[in-house]
Amino acid sequence: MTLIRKQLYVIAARSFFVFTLLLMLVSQAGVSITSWPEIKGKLVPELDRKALSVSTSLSTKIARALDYGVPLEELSGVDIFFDEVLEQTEGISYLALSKLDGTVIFSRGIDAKALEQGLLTSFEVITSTLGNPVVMTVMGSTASSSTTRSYRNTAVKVFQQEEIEKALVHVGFDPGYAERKVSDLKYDVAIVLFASLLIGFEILLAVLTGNFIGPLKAVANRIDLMTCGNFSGTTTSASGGIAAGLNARLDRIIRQINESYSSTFEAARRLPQSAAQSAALSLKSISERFHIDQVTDPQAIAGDVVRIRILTFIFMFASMLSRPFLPVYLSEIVDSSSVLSPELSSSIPITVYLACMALSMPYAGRWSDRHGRRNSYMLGALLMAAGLLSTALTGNFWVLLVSRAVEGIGYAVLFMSCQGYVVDNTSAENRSQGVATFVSAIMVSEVCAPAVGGVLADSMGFSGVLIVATLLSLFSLPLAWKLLSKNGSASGPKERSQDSKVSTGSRSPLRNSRFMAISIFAAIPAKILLSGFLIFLTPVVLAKFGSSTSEIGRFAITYGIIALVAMPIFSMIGDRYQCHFQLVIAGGLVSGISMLPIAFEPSSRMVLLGILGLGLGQAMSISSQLTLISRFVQAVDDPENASSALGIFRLIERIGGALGPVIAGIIALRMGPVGAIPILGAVMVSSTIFCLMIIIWLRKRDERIAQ
Amino acid sequence: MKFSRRDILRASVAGALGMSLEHLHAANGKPFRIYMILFRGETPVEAGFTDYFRSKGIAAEFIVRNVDRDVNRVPELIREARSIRPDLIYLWGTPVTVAVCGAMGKVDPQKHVTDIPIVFTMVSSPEGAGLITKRGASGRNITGVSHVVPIERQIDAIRAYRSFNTLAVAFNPAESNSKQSVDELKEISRRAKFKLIEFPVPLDDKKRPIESSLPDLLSEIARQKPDYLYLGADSFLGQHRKVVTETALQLKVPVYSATEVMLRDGKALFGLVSPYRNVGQLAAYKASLILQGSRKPGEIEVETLPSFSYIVNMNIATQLNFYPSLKVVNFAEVIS
Repeated sequence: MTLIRKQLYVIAARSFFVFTLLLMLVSQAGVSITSWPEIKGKLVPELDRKALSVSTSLSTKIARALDYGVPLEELSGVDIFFDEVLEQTEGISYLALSKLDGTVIFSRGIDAKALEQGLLTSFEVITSTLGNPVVMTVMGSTASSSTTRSYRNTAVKVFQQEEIEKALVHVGFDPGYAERKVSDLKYDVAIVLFASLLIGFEILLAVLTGNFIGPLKAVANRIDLMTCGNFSGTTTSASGGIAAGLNARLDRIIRQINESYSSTFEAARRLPQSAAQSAALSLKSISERFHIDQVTDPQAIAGDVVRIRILTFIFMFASMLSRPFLPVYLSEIVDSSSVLSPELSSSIPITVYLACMALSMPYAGRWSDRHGRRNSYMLGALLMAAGLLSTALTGNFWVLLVSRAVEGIGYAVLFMSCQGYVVDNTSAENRSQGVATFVSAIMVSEVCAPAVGGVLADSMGFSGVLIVATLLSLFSLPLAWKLLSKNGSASGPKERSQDSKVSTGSRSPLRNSRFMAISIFAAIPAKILLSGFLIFLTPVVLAKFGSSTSEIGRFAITYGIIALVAMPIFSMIGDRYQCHFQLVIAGGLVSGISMLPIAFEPSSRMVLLGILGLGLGQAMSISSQLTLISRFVQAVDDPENASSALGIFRLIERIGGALGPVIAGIIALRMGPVGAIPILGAVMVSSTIFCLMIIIWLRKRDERIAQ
Repeated sequence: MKFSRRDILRASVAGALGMSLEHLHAANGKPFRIYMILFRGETPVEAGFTDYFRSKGIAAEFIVRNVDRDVNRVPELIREARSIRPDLIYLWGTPVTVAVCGAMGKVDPQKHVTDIPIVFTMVSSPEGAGLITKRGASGRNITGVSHVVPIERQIDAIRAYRSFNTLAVAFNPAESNSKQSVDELKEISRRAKFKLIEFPVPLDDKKRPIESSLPDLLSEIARQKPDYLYLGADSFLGQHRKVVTETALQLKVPVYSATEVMLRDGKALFGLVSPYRNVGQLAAYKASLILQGSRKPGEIEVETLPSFSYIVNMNIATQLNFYPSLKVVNFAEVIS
């Protein structure tokens, strides 16, 4: 990095980032940590209050029966009554009715004998502090261990005719249990903290680049050009803002040079004929060598690629907000039109979405090439907003399918616009960096959005979250208008993205056996696993195990975190040791094997294991797959077809992605959603092994041919 | 807690419709004339019916006739009605209603009234009586209110008192609506898995129930030791309610009644019933739709009340030493 750049913006930008993020971290952590004891401190008194009101209301109800003349021992249906109350009241552990001397007549939620003993030991205290909680220890009821649990017991008298004491109602809860449930909240807090830091980082980056780094980078580029002897003028759009003064100075220098050149040129013209000609020639060579009197479009206008980062981040965030609960939400809507079974009919909208997305990608790319990145981005954003809004509001199955299709197409258009923009504005050297920027924006939103969506869904409901997503997509419209320049479009034909087009050379990769082996037996199963397991089955299974929506979001986030962290590591390992193939195989095995344990222990822990394995395996294999594919294609076919081959690979991949939910749904019909998971894992493992065998066979065959 | 857009839409449409239905102006200023044919004199149903008109300020003139349990007096009342030409005819009970309206498919315009709107009440099973083909609107000049709670709700109500395994049912086999309830009970007993024991009242050779056989019948029932004795909307048993319920009480058999009269004027233990007043009011509401809203009776649904009264006689419970569950104690209407 040149000194100029360091002095101009690098150090400043870095320190700014670090400072701001630290500030955010410290302030949020501070608020969370200081408010935590307060939350915990309020819990027990709240439950005490609840216990008092429950016991009072129960006592009234029992008194009514007594008032009608029902003898205390003849009360019937008390346990059913208690069960109903316990079910409706969170946090209370047990209810009991006892005589005035403490003998328990009815109890639910606790063993009667154990309660009786506990009551009798603390009886003095209880009867003297009626209406107030008393800490009471109760012997454990399990035969083997003699554990003691402590409860807070609130007792209230039951009066007949409002005067005659007849019985006592006891309401109790285990404070430790309650506290443990509240502790779960801290995960939500941590996730929101983490997500907000990431989101803050993205926004910070966008704002800073636009207003600070961008202009200064442009200036640095101009200075670089000049130090290389290029004195052309520029039609720069980065002349404003913080760099205005510097740009003006540079403009002046260039103008001076150009002016002196022109005056020299004029002077040379006035020379006698022979001298004039040779002078003209020398001047011409000077002008060419130093690019005087020319205009360059500084291609490396900084921050162009970073702009796309915030735009990518926004639309990915909007589309991923609903991921934790989408299958559950869809099955709720689909309930009303019971044409097909619930498993199948909630997976179909997901498949429609993925299929429309996959199939429209090549056409979206072509469209975006022709009409410009900004226009296509805005169209995509509108389509996505329309799809999200109508998914939020409809109750009709067919309207739902159409909305999902529209959203999928919108996503494809947005994706190809952003990808195309990256390719337009990068050259062969920094393309991988540009792609990395694009991909990391995707990964960051994959990490943040599901968690935030899950937490929001608990308070505003599923439709509410979808509406928020709609608003986000709409918000990206003015942003795109501002950030994407009009000429960031079909210009630069030489740099046009080949990935997006299905070109005429499409036959050759399909005949390449290695290409097909990797595509079909490694890439497709991986995508099936991703969409079938992570997007479709996981929310359904976790909901079955009783997880709340924010819990499901937490689970979804672990995938993103693992992938985000592991991907750069593994791609670096792959590059350094050139072990791409091994990584693809290892990644497939890791993902597949981690799906199997749930067959033995159906619990949310095993789901988490599957998610972790999936994240790790995908991180291992994704970038290596792409590298292998391009390498295979280049080795055999025309090198120029490499990028169209990549496009075809993506399409094939996405077919797998589209099929995932349907396949998972069909398996779930037979084996239930929990049983479908190990089956998917087994399929992944076997197909990975099969891929391995094919490639080895191909290798052996080539060796034999070579001999 | 999410309310969907659908709910809001539905609520506002319902509100708009509701408002447009209420226009209160009597036709050409004269009071409506309502011709009432009663079976056994005035009951709380009629009180509810006439009260409705009074409370809504609808001017109406009630011409009351009582057949005093003799259906054969109906034809002369029909002749009178035809000459008076009232705005509406009100009928009480199945025998009267069938005599005036005729069963579906057997309607004779000479014998039956087909050109004056009719509102009936206290018909326990309009379908069973052949008045309508299926629950809903009749498609002809009649509509009405049935006072019998749907059988499933009744079984739930019995179970709420205390769970049971055996249910005995006594009934008059000469009454078609009683036979039909017993059939329904049989059907439910299969689904809900309880035992139903039928005790038809013995009939004489003229197919009339024998009053003197009741004590023996009840002894037989007590011997079988059912958890409850079910008494449906049976006119014969209703007529002899004192004998039936008092004997049952002596024999320590808990009695469930599907009609209010057995509870308020008999010794039944408990029941889920349509309060007669409310039945009358619902019938009056339907009458007002016909008289003021110019709705046709054939378009107005024949229905039961939307909610019922759970009545428990605590004195009887004490005498039987058989108390209701805590839940029932807290929501039932307790009488002594």
